[in-house]
Amino acid sequence: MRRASDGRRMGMRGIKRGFIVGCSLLILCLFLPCPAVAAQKPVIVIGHLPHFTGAYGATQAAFGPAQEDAIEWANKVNYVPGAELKLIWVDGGTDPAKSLAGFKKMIAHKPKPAVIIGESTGIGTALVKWHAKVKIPDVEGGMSLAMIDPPRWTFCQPPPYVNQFGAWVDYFLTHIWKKKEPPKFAWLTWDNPFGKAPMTKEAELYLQSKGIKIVAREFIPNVPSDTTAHVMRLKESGADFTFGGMYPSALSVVLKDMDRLGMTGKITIGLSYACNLGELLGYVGPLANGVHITAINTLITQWEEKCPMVKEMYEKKKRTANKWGYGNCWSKFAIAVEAVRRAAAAVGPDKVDGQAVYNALINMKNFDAWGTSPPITYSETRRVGMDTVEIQAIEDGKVVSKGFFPTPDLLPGGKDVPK
Amino acid sequence: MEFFSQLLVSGILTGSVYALMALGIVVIYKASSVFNFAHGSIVAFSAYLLWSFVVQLHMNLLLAVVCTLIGLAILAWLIQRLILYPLTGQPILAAIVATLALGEVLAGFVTLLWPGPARTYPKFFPSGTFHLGATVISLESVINFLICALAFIAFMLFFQKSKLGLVMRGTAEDHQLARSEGVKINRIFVLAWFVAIIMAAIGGFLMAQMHGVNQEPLIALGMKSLAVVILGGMESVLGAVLAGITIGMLEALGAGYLDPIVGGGVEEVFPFVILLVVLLIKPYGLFGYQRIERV
Amino acid sequence: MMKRPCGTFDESYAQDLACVRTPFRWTMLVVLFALLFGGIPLVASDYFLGVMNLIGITVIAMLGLNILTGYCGQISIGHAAFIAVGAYTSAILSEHLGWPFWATLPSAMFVSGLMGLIVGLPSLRIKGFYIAISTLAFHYIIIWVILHGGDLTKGVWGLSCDFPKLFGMELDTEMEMYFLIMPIAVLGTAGAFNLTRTKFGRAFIAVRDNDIAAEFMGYNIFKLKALAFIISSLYAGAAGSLLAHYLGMITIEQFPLIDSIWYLGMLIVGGMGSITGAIFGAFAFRLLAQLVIYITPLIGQVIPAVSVSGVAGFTQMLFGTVIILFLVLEPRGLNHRWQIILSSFRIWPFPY
Repeated sequence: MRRASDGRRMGMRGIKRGFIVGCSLLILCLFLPCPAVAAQKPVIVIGHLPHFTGAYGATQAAFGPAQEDAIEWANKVNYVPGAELKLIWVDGGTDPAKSLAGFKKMIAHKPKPAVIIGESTGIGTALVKWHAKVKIPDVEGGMSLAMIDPPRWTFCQPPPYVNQFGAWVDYFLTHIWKKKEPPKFAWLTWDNPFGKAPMTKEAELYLQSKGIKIVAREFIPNVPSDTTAHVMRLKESGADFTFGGMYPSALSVVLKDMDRLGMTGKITIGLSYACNLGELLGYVGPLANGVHITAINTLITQWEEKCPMVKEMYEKKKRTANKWGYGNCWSKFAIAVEAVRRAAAAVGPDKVDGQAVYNALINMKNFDAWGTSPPITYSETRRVGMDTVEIQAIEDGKVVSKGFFPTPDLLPGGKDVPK
Repeated sequence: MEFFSQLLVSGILTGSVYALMALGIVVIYKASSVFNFAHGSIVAFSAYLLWSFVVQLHMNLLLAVVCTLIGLAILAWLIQRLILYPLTGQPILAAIVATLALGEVLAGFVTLLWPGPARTYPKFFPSGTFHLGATVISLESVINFLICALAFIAFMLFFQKSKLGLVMRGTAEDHQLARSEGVKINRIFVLAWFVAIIMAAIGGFLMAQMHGVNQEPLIALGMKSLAVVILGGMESVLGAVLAGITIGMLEALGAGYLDPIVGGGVEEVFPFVILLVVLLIKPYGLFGYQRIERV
Repeated sequence: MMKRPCGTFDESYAQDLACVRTPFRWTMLVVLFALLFGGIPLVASDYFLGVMNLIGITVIAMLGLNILTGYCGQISIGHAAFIAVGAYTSAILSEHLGWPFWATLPSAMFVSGLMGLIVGLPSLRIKGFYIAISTLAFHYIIIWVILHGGDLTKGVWGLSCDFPKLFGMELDTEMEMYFLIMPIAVLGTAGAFNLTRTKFGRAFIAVRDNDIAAEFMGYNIFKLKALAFIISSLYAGAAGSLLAHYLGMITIEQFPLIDSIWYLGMLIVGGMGSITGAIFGAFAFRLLAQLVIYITPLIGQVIPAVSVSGVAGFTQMLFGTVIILFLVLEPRGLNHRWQIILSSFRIWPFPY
């Protein structure tokens, strides 16, 4: 039934056929076995599941150069004696279907990865049972209750958000609050899983035990365009300090509205880890003064003294990536590579597998993460890496460190939960 | 009362930007009945493009705007020539899904060229506040509002008064008739895309001042205009403007009065609840054409 | 009417109505089944089985969307929300009440179907693209409700969901899940195929082609549209339930709006209004995603100038471009191409 006059479509037939055949061939190629690469040293594979596209893309773009540099550095200094580290990575795209497929692709790699580094709470939670099933530990940058309880093969790096909240309350009471009467607290946080993570029963009990009243709960949408209502309610409530999880793009809108409504400087904003203060400064400049964060990454200005290799690699490879994200990625690779080194020392470099790395991880005590973050401790039952945070703040347009502070254990059944 | 008026004013000011972005979708829909799912990505892309000219290439604002316009014109031409022209006469859903894929391509392009965290524009507008009674208004958002109003007036003048605008409206009415009058409708489509992209770009520029030049928020804000368009009625320019402002207001008021009752986060769904109610009462949106169908 | 090779005659109505007519088709069907349940699991690696499992779940979801959008003409941009409803129902019943899989699956379908009925109600008044946006609104509302569901949905924390247990055996390997998902997918396909041959299926098509005309023909179009919504969400509920049991863990982040839109995209690429089209769409998309995963590191090796995260952007562009190419070259979907191949095979060696 093809019309003869329809010349254009006739001309496209060749293209069409070629396209279809090409696509099918490519898809067929997928399932061909890859030729094995001959190597003198045994190769230990480290997997990485970052999210370069999608919602986390902007923050995690710096993970690209960081992952390569961390592995390159470890190989250069022969960090795991007798073995060659190899990086494989798949872009998760902040999308569960993509991430799951990518995860399967990684565990099908020959040789099997000994450890996989995950970078998202949502995806990490979705993969908890899978990591246990395939017996490959997950060194996870995200943090959720499901990942740490019951203890499985997922090893979270940051302290739980509720513990960060506890550290912030302690810090505020001892270092900032000067008056006699207890301060008033307000939640000012994102209306999403990350933002609401610290808002647990235990958190409220903790505030109660300190005599602090919660006077407002303000949830900022993922992409706010106007936060007048929230800021005005905060103003009315007379809150003295807040806590929550937000990225700079959302917080900057809040700060601008606070400025307009005459709130700047009247309230101390605390944030959980993963807000990049440098980025915030870029958005709102002086308005960001006084914002605090319970950070887990060494300040960029302290790279020189604490983790010289990060600075060295960054400069040597002439990286232009965002330094905050760059350092953040290194801190997770530090844990994974160290665990691989210990596993290799225990079972020999050619026998390192998921089980060996798991054993190394559960015996990790006070590992300094090459100075990129507070020390890491895991145990048979403990899946939370850190129990210290570094409080950082913006003062006079600069990010400064206020020192390390222990996080109270406010997880359900934790020892610091008030009875 | 202060609370209410404050919310109302900020809602209207934000809503004006939604309205402007929604206009872009309406223009394309009117011209070629394609519902543009790539709008969010276009908003983000154009904001990045302008940033690139201003900051990376150190141009002054005027030159940068001209360069951005040229870039966007090329984009409009590419979209029409490479994607929509071959799909002429094919099921309309195919064209709509093609715009969805286009959004993916543009998002990938932005990630490829401008990876990493958000950029910021240098300060273009003076900041500051002034009082209107008890209501505090920031200078920035008033300037935003004025820019939107200007863009809207320019848009209306172009459509109602200029010959090209007349041709575009004619094409929107009936493709075949327009063709038989000697209108090159493909050029008109390119023009429609260009106008739409400019609207998206202005919206993106204004939003980027607030959020930084940041892909995800800009895409999300651009997608919000989908709801605006439906609320207003897909063919109605006036509807898009009113609906944009309405949604801005509803968000602010919802956050103000409903958040304490239901426990927060209302502003993200409230416009959609209203949208549903409106659709149930007026199935073609507030100002959409009531279609009279024949069998 | 289906074209048949010459020499195929019908001698009774039963014969005329049979799904599988010719011996050749029977052979093909047997071969397909043998491949699906014998060949593939025998030779395939865990990785391939994992991909097949994902495809199987996607196929189930797509079949539902195909009935709603492809047959009944009601565009839905809320399919991911229905899947979320199914997944959450399963997880809630499994986590809080400890129900076994064979009970959670039908319950998930039931709850999801109920939700479909509610979402379908506005179709009484709303038509065309406006119904699409009303489903979009429902997507936002459903996700919002789940996120604010308190202890029931555990809001932001996500829910754990047991691996399915059947006959005392826990299905937790890819292979076992494969033999759970594939039969359900096959059953779903058969169900959808037969549904389109019943009076409802034909009525759906009438509604799609022109609902006013269908109304004049005596159909209660509102009832039909609501029915289409219900059936579509039944499928979505099953897919969600399987997904929850397959992953073992669900959070709200797993059901983003963009997924809803991409399901629609899959349908268009596969070919609307045909069962094979829905299956082709699911296969094409998921395999393309795998292809992109394979290509990503290669691009980095070939063009070292592109940064690693830039490469991810490049693959995103590639994905979009291939979809556009699919649409431009075959706007009626892969199924259309498939039918051309089939008919040229059928009438071979004559080209006309």
